Formats: sequence, C-alpha cells, structure tokens
Amino acid sequence: MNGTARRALAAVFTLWLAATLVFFALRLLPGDGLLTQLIESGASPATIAERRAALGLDQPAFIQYTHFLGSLITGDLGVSLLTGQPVAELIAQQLGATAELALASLSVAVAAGLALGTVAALGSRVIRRLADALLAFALSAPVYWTGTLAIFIFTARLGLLPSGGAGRLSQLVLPALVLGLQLAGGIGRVTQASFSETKIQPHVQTAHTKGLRSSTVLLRHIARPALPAIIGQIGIQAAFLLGGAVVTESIFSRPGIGRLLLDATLRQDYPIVQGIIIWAAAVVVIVNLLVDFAIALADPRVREGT
Amino acid sequence: MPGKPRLIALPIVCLFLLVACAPALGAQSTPGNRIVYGLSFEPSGIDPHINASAELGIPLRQVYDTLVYRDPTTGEFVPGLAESWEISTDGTRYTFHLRQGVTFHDGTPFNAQAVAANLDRILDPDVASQKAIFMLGPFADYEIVDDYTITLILAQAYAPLLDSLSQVYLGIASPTALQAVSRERYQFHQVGTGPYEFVEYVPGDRIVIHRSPNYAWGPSFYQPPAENAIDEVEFRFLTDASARALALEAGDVQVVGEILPTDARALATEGGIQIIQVGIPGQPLQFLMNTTRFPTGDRAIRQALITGTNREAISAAIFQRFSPAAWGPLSAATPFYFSQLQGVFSYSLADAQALLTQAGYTDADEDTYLDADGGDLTVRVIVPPWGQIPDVAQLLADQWRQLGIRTELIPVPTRGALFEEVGKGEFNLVAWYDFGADPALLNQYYLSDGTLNWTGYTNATLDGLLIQAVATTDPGSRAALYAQVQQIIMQEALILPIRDYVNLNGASTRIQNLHFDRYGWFPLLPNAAYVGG
Repeated sequence: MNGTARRALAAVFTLWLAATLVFFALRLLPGDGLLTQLIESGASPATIAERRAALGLDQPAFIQYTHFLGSLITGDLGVSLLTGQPVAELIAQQLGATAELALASLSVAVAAGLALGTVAALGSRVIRRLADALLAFALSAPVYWTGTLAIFIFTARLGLLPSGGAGRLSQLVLPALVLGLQLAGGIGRVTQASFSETKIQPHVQTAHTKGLRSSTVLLRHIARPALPAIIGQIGIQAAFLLGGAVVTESIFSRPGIGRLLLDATLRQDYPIVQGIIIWAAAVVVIVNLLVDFAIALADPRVREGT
Repeated sequence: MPGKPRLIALPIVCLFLLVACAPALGAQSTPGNRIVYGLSFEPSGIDPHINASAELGIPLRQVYDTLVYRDPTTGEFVPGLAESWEISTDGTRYTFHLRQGVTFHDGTPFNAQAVAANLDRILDPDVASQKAIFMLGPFADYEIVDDYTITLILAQAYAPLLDSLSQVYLGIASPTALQAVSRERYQFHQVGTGPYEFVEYVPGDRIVIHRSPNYAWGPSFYQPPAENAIDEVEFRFLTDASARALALEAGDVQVVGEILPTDARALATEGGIQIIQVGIPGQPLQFLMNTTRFPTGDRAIRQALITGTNREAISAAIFQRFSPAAWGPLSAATPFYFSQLQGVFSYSLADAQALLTQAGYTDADEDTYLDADGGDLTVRVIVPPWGQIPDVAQLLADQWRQLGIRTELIPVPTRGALFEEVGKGEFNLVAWYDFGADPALLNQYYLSDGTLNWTGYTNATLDGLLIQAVATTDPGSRAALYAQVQQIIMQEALILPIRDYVNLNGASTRIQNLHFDRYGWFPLLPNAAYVGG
C-alpha cells in the first residue's frame, strides 16, 4: 500500500472513530433537549412518545447508529431536535464568522509568537527574560480573563473599540488580539525551544565563523531547520480554531461554531453537537494532511523519505 | 547582530498598525432612533408557534398582536385583535369578535380565517409545536361564525385559555407568509400585525425589527408613538453576563436583561445607566421537598428546614438585596398571589431547633450533627447550575449546619440530568422554578398525579381545589380557590421558597419610558423613546 492510500484510510478511520465516540457518548447522557422541553410544556406521555418516535429516538441505540452512519456517508448530518433545521446548514451559517476569527487570530499568533519566540531564544539576557515572561503570561492567562479585561480597558474605559459583534473590522480586533495572544504562547514556546537548540549546533557556529551576516544565519541556518516543528504547532492551532473558539465567541458576543456548540450542548440538542464534533474531526484530519505536506516542502529530509 | 531587531520589529509594527487603523475603519454613525438590545442568550429557534424560549418573545412580542392582551398594570385582559369576547356559562366556548381594518405587514387582511389558519398550524402534528399547542389545553375545535367572528370550542372548561391567547406563542401570523415558506424557514420570514415589522434574523448574530408605519390597532396601553420613538431595534446575543454589563457601560448596547446582581450594583452608580427591576410572575426560586423519603418525609423536618433558612442573608449575599424574599409557591408578581403567607416560617434558629427537638432528633454521639439511622441527619439536594442556585445551595448548607443537619449537594449539569436525578427518587430537595402569569402552572407540580409532582405529596382536597380553579372562569372564585391552594402547600411545608425572580435590566438613561409587560420579560417598545440619539 502506498503512502497516500494509507493516509486516506487513516483519515477515514479517524472520522469514523470520532463519529462513533460522539454518538454513543451523547446517548449515555441523561435526557435530550426535546424531551425536557415537552415535559416542561406539559405534554402527555403519549404525545412525548409520538414525538420521539417521529424522530426515530424510540429505536434501539444500535439501529439509530446504523441510520446515523448511513446518512453520514451521504454527507447528511441530520436535523436539530428543537428546530428541525439541517445541522449542515446550521454549521455552514456559522462558518464564515469562525473562519474570519481563525484567520485573524492565527495571524496575530504567528506574528507575535515568532517574534517573541525568536527574542526569547536569541536576544540579550534581559530581553530573553522579558520575552520568556511574556510567553509564560500568554500561555497561562485564560481568555476568559484577558477578554473581559480587554473589553474593560479598550471599550468601557477608552472607548476605542466595540465590545463585540461581528461584521466590521473593528469588531474583530479585540477578539483576534486576545485569542491570538494566547495562541502566540504555544507558537512562541516551540520557536524558542527549536531556536535555542539549533543556535548551539556546529553548523550555526561554522556559519558565524565564516563571517555570514546575522540575518542570513538566522534565516538560513537557525530558522529553516526549526520550521517543521513550528508549522506543526501552527497547524494544531488552526485546526483548533476552525472547530470554534467557544470562550472567545461568548465573551465578544460573536457568532461562530463555538457558540453553536455551546448552545446546543446546554440545550442537549444532540444532532448539532454530533455534527460539530464530526466537522472538527474532519478539519483536524485535513489540516494534518496539509501540515505533513508543508513540512515535506520545508524539510528536505522528510521530502526524501530519510 | 544588527539584522535581528529589524526582523523582529516587522510583525510587531504590523500588529500595531492593525490596532491603530481598526477603529477608524470600523467607525460608523448610529442613526437617531435605532437601538441595540442585548438578549442574554440565543433561542434555539425563534418561531413562536414552535419554539418555547422566553427570550424569543422579547423581539417578537413587538411583531405580533394577540387576540387579547393583559394590561401590564392591572393584569386584566383587554382587547387586542379581538374587540370583545364572550365565554359560555359552562366555560367551553369562547367567541371572539375580531377587529376590522387590520392588515398584516405583508398586506394580507386580518380576519377569522387568519385566526383559523394560525390554529391549524399550531395544531398540525408535522409542525411539532413545543409549547403553543400545549397552551391551548383541552382545545377541541373552532367555528368561523362570520368573517370577523370565531368561536374556540374546548372539550372542558379551561380558565387559563385567555392567558394563553395573550402570549406571543399564540401570536397571529399572516396566513400568506405561513404558506409561502416551509415550517423550518418561517422563522426567517415572520409577518405579524404588531407595532414592529420583522426585518431579519441572522443566526448567531442578530434579529432586526423596524417600526411599522401603519400600526393603529394596539391595545389600550400602547400609546401613540412618542416624538423620539424607537424606529429600529437590533437584538444581539450577549451570552456572557459580564460582557453584557461592559457592553452597556461602553454604550455598545442601549438595553440588556439579566444583569448579574453584583454588576447591577456597580452599574447603578455609573452616570447614564438605569437599572430596571422587573418581578417575574410564576414560581419563586424554591426547593421542592420530597415527602416520600427520609428525613423530608417528616413535616417537622420540612418546617425546621424552612424556619432555619435565613432568606435575608441569602438575598443580601447573592442577590444584592434586589430580590424580595419568597414565602409561598407563587411570586408576588403573579395574579392570585396570596399575600397573607408573608412572614410564615420566617427565620428563627431557635424555633427551628425547637421543632427538631420536639420531633425527637438528638445528638447522642455529640459530633455536632443530629443522629439518624446510626449516622448523621442528612438531606440530599439536587443543584442545577443556573440562576445562581449553586451559591444559594452552599449558603443553605452552611445555615443548616447550625441546626445540626448535614447537607449533601448533588450537582446536575443540565435539565435532562436533573430530571433523571429526580427520577431516581433519592433526593430530599430539588431547586426549580417555572414562570407564567396563570397559577394553573401549579397543577403539574401539586396534583397527586402531576407530571412534575416531585414532592410526592398526595391530597384529594388539594387536587379538588387545583382542578376546580382551572375550570372556574370567574376571577373572584379563582382567587379564593388559589388562596386555599397556597395555604395548604405552606401548611404542609412542601417547598422552601427563597426569593422572587427579578429580571435586572440595564438601560441607557437616554431610553425613556421603558416598561415591561405583565409576564415581566417582554418590553413594551412601542411606548419607549430614545432621546438624543
């Protein structure tokens, strides 16, 4: 079996595993959104049974599972328990906002992460300490706190930026910075570690001795070998972002897949939860393939299969 | 290494440029009478005939008229799309005489056929209504008498019908609009006869409504548009409570609901912000007590738990004194509330201890807990995560510790989990509340065979009163019946009432005349004004 076929099989297996796990995990939880709503509305047990039967919820779990897999193969993610809308449509509606935030925050994260990581590895002693502390802060400060703080400072006190919403560029700035700062922590740490490791390698020493300019040494001899690790890290974060940034979307009152997931979970609208988990798994699989491809481009050792 | 700083500076410079340019790029002026209204969550769907959330009513109460309205001050039913109505003496036939000259926002004329089309839709099994259909109770059929007269026929007398018909879930939609799109799509294309027209719903982002120029058939308490009447309202979903308060403070939104009590205290001291407290009718925050399980099967224990609860301390610590203490199964804002229960079982540690001693509970092993079955006297409490109930339960545990009672908290994450935990029957108390302006909502909880009879209490007298109160249309007779119902529930100490639910709304002081309807949640936006926008 060649590499491509093996990868495709692995991808399908991953998706199947994610779909199966989420299907059964959700059915282990007590109740569902429709059931509790109907009970609260005063529906009779007979009416409740009828409604559940209409959605196939009265079938044994395994039968429901085979139906679910059958639909999934045709790209059908089912319908919301509470509104009857197709889940794929609900996800598609939120995709634009999620992609926008993902792209913006990832740009911030890459710029800030690379900058801080580089300085933390190669700067003078004081600068290294400072960058190191900033990275630690970025990694450890929860978005819930930095987000609220950012709204407090930039919106409530300074009146510079809107507190939330979506559609205008100004509304994207705070969430992208807050989320980007946190992700910059991860990228920065990987950059710092790779650069620190590479800068003491003999080939870097040789390059310096040969009298090459510092920028050439940094780009060609330090950054290049570290690229695969950094690309891998960026890929992980891109996949995470496209699955929805639950906390950031909530604090900044933004539409997006994360909010959809949170609302559906709280309301126990399981087809939506299922659909989003499968979507997120698909994103991870695809991004991983892209990352592998990018690493192969960046690293001749991988490209040549050694 | 001279090259390095330049490289590093580039992304940082880009970052700052982005930040610096952003406000200028995003700046826009807000048109005069347009406001942004922050909802505290996004409903799962916003079709009032299908979906059940209270939040959907905040925008849609403005889009639809109902056959009748409840006067927000008196609570009486007043004409809406029906100019008058008669109820047959046996309470099973309601004849509505409809207003003439009313048109839907799409130009469709309003008449008896339109009312019938709405009833047909709500009753259609394929529409699968989650609330409206059940609000019709024992509805059996309708008769179109003429173009402007319709009779609703019930299988048996059902007094809450007018209350149901006054709510947005039974709002009258344009039959043309209902026909035009599928069941799932109607929520994006809603058409009513109300003071505002539905403009758009963008899931996850906003709902927009616009003042209707032709509206001239409002209920008596809708005033003619003020000079600075609000022309357009954009509803946004601000799910995070702290973010809601900050958005209001920053002026990004002009009205928000469900502010946290601590935020409300802080905002009240800010210039330019008003806090509007609205008591919500229905059940107060309460703990239903399981009478079928030890120790809450013992009335003395139930009475001791209530008497040993310091509601004032809870109100002060958790609700910043915004909430009045609750004394019975209905909140003070509910029609037929029996005010003489106020002060019953008021806090007294000594009285609570005396009740326990008289009932024979002692601490023989001197471990500071009363003894039961060879262990400590323990109550198990089901604690859902909403409405600050976990904080309340924690305070209760501390307070009951002084009575020598051990409290075991059972956290549940969702309504489904709560229902399952209750179903196991291994609890003593469960926190719960439900809202509504007709006390008929008590039946589910206190009828011996009620679907939510979580106290497990059975009493033929109470059953008789509850059933009679639902079948009696005369308000005076209902008041007498519900007075007895409320007294029995507290005599038997079936619940521990904590506080009346109060919605803390925050608004810019430039919003004037913002009042809420009798159900507490829904603003009367036609009467409001936005000054100096």
